[in-house]
Amino acid sequence: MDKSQLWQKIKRFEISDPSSAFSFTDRLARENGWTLEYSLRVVLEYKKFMFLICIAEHPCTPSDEVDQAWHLHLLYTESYWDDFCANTIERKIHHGPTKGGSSEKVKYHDLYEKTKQLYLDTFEKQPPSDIWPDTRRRFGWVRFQRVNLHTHWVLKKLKI
Amino acid sequence: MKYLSNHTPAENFLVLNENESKLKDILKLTFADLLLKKVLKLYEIEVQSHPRSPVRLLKYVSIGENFANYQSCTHEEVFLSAFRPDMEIEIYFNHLVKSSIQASKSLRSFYFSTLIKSASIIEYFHNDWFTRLTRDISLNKRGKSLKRIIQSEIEELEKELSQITHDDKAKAFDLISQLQGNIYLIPGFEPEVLSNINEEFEETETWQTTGGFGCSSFGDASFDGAFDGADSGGSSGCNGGGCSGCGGCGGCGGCGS
Repeated sequence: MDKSQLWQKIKRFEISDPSSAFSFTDRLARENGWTLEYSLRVVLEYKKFMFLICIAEHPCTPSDEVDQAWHLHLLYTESYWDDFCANTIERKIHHGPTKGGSSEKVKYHDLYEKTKQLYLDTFEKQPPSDIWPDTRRRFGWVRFQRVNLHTHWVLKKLKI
Repeated sequence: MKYLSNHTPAENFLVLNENESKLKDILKLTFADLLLKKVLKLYEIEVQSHPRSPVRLLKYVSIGENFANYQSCTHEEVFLSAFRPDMEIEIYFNHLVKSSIQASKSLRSFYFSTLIKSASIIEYFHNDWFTRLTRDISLNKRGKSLKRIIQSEIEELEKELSQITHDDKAKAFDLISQLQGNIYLIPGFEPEVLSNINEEFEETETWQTTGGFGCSSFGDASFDGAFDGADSGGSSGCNGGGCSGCGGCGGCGGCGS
């Protein structure tokens, strides 16, 4: 399978189950507080990231937004392992979280830069900055915690 | 036909129905109009995610040949904005419908935030602080006059179309190309494109109303606890173990094998 065929297969892969009233994209939007439109765009970027992993000669690191799509897809195990990995791209793609420590930090910064460069070389356009932020924001402004919105209010900080 | 073709189908529909307008009708007319103008394209793709799964025909939307040069109205952006950052995107039709419903929120919200701001209809509706407070969608004197003109234009077109479609198809096509999506406002005229999209707009709800919580687990009979082949392995939902979490991580990596 050449690169172009592979990209077409990945692009056409439908993660959302058409028979579900509450689809993968709906869940991605709800769990992250995103609009559906933004979620649809993130899903496309996730597919591009998966394509980059397939063609890269080095491990790739996603933006946090793309990573959220990846995490969620991993929860749909049948779709991820059987339909996507085995049947669509014909290879296994594992997800490896950081082991922590300063060397890991440097490693992931470097891989993120390399991934964005590969994106530019492959798709001949810059990755969208609202989904692929710069490295400082990617690793510096990420501090998430699961919050039950039935029991908590969430207020945005006035200044970041 | 002069007045009818001066406005988009959504605007004409609003003039004709005022407070009785339904958001889904406005969205449906807007989308159908964009298809007719070839700004967007609707097509079906055969999808089979796995050899054991049935082949499904799914409807997708992508940009049409006129997308790049089309001067859009603000209320059309609920369908168009997702295509602007990356024109390569193909969106599952049901998702685009959901996204447009979510973005427009409700008829009144869509009207006061978007539709009323259109230069071509603002002069025909009441638009003062009291109207905004009471969320009223009603025509002023000029608007009522416009409504009568549009109604009579539609009546004339209805007669004209019923006569010409049998005798002169070229003339009918000419008329349709001038009217664009306003053709859908003519009673009894339901072309294939409209019936194709009707169901999706009528039955689609956003996740705010359909979303639920919960997971299930299920496994293959052959599950032996290890993924050792593309077609073997087990499936487990949230209740199962073996998940590699990455909460609080500063980065994740992926590599293919």
